[in-house]
Amino acid sequence: MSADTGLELPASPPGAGARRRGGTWRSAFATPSGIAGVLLMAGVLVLAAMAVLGLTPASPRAQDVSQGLLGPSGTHWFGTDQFGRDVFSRVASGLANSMRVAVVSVAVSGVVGITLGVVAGYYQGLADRVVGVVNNVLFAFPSLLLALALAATLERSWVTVSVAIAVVYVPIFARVARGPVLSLRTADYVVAADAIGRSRLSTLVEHVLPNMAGILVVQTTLSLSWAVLTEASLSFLGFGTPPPAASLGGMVYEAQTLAVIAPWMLAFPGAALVLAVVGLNLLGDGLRSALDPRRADR
Amino acid sequence: MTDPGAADVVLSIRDLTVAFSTSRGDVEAVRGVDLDVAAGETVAVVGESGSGKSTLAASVNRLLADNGRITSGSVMLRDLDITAADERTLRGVRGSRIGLVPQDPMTGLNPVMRVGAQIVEALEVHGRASGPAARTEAVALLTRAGIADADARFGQYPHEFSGGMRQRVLIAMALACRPEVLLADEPTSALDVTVQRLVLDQMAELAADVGAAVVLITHDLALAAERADRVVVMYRGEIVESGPAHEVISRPRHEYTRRLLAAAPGLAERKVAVTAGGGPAPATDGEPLLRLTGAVKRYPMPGRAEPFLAVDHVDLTVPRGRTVAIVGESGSGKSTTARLALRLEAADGGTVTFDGRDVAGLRGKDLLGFRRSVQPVFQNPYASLDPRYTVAQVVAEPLEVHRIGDRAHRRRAVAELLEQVALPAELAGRRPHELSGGQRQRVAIARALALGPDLVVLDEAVSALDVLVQEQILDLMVELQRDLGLAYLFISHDLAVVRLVAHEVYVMRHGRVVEHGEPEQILTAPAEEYTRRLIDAIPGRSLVRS
Repeated sequence: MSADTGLELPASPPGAGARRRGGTWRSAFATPSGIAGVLLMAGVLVLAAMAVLGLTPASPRAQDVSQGLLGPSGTHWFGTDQFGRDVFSRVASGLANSMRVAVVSVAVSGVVGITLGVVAGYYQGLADRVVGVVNNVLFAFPSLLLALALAATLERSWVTVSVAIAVVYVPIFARVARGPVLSLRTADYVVAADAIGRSRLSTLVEHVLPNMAGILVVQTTLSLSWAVLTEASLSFLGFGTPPPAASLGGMVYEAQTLAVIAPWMLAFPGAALVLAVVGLNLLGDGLRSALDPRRADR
Repeated sequence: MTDPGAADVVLSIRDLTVAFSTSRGDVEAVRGVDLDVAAGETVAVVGESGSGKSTLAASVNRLLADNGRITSGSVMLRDLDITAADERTLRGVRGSRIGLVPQDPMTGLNPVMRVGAQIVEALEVHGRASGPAARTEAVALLTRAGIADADARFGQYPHEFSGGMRQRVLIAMALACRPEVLLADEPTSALDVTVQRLVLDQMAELAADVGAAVVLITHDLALAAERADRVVVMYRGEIVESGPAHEVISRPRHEYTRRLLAAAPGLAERKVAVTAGGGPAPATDGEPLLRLTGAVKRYPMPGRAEPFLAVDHVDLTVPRGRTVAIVGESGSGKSTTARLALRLEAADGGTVTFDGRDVAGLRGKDLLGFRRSVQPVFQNPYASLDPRYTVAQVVAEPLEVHRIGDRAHRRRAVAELLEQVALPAELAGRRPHELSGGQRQRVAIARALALGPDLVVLDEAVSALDVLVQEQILDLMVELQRDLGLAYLFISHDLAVVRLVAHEVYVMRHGRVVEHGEPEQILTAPAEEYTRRLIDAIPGRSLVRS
């Protein structure tokens, strides 16, 4: 789904790829948390796809004040807001927006951060020092504040929100990737590959990256869930996805003054947010156990 | 089974059976074991991995893994039935009446807690002492465990201690509460032989001081016989032989004991013939395969101007078809020398030549050619294979990197190589975690042989293996050398193993070669005090002499 999945799982050794990849998904389904994660994310993606394809019961932006603040019913499953917009359609659209921002920001930060971290850890020397300094500078800013500053100075759109989140996550990915590379580069089987005559780059792709794929996949899914939360926080504070486009954080913000008379306006976007985050975390957990070669073959 | 006339039995195990529930049903790890241990006595339990010896030890203080349970029999600590005791009672017993020395000194201590505080904790938990009294007691224990300057060492953290020192701290901790029984589960298998000897001496002394009975778990029969009053041999969960140590060694009754005895490197016969001529000069003429001349390797030390001299002007030659061994303690520079020979590191001084060519200048195709001729096998069979690769992929990898043959050819080559290292063909599809330690090491050897090398560098390649598996691998090495004319650079801390396979031995200390010659010559007439220490440390050495 995200662009970096391709980077983290480089071509498997010939002959085993297809079988093993299939096994990974099967065993992701085999753990209870993996099953829950896959089901939750399937639900989230179905809703998001409905919004993207225009299959929601109503347009998420269509206003009808006469139909304002209606409770959940057969026609409006999640009720309506103060402008008479269908909350279900807006939740679906908001989820689509959250996932789009999360995937784009994590894809960008993942590719950049992992590349930096891997290069720094594997080649050491000057590369490591430069990446270290850049990382430390970026880490010095509180992450939400940095995203806020970027979102406030740039023109408001979902793209700038994604860029702001991506900048914050680059050093995190770089740090997470560098650690395992440092220990893997001295592993006996990596040294053995050197002694066979494999080139440094080929050893990196063949032996180092596949053995850290588990860690990176988990980091990626966790980052997706953080990115969903960060996007919601920015939108809640008014620096995120601009209205009238639906975003879960913005919906929670609008609902807070009306929470007593129209609790469904707060409950449904809030629940959608929680389920998306929980789903991504559980999925990461399931993938982590599935990608451990010592467990995958059981 | 009972020691005749043993008046004071501390630990009495009767008909003990321990089962583990696994996905394939219950597996009995220990079956119907009877064992008595008297006060002040040392009993060694010997067996290969999987023989149930560690399970036996774990059931004595009921610290079995979650899926394990005692299905029948009893463990009596004097008049306390351990098998029936509740968790509360057991907590009072563990560490207080039964001390435990774990196998791995590196993980046995809490890294963020001062060493002294950890011993004080052991004393305080069981109410043996507290406050300044506990501190005094802990310092005294450390001193008696052989820690020099214990008062200053008391406030240091575990990372400031070497492996041997840590194990001594753990022994001091295990004996802090004057337990009646000390369980030592492979207490020195992670240590060098010289350190092993010192640690075991200290342990015996301290245990005798405290009056504890010692149960020593080990895979090394020679070590057991040397250290214990009585030896109990376990095989597949059952005791197959037991008796006074000297009797088991001199008159083994069970077939398995005889096999263990034959495999013990300290007692076994040499596996290669020494050349008739004698003297350290290479028997073959012409240029040796590998030659190190005044090789130097320095590593910068953080925070110090002076670099660390890991290899200090080493001269060494490996003739074709011969086994040359480097022996020394950890930190003696032997592994760095191996890395220089493999050209994984560049020498900072001197030259390394292979087949007459300086390896430092090799680039591109020449370097690939060198890589085909020199291959490594490493110590840890768990770390030397990529966990994601199947056995077939591991063995085929060198062929792929060097683009040798097509897929069908490689498949045939893999089958041949597996046969050469005596691995069944059906293992080809397995991954490393599905193999035993010995099988993994065979896979690593098959990978090293794939390119048809002239020299194989074995860095402690058999040190992590049980004696029986070790013997099999050593036999395989000798056989391959005979069939393929291989030369070996064999790195080991254990002179006993080196004696079995080497044509020539270099003894290293602090980065320098202190002496070299034929193994028998080094063993019978060592020129250096340091070499003598290495020889004395060979387990079972005293048994051979007497």
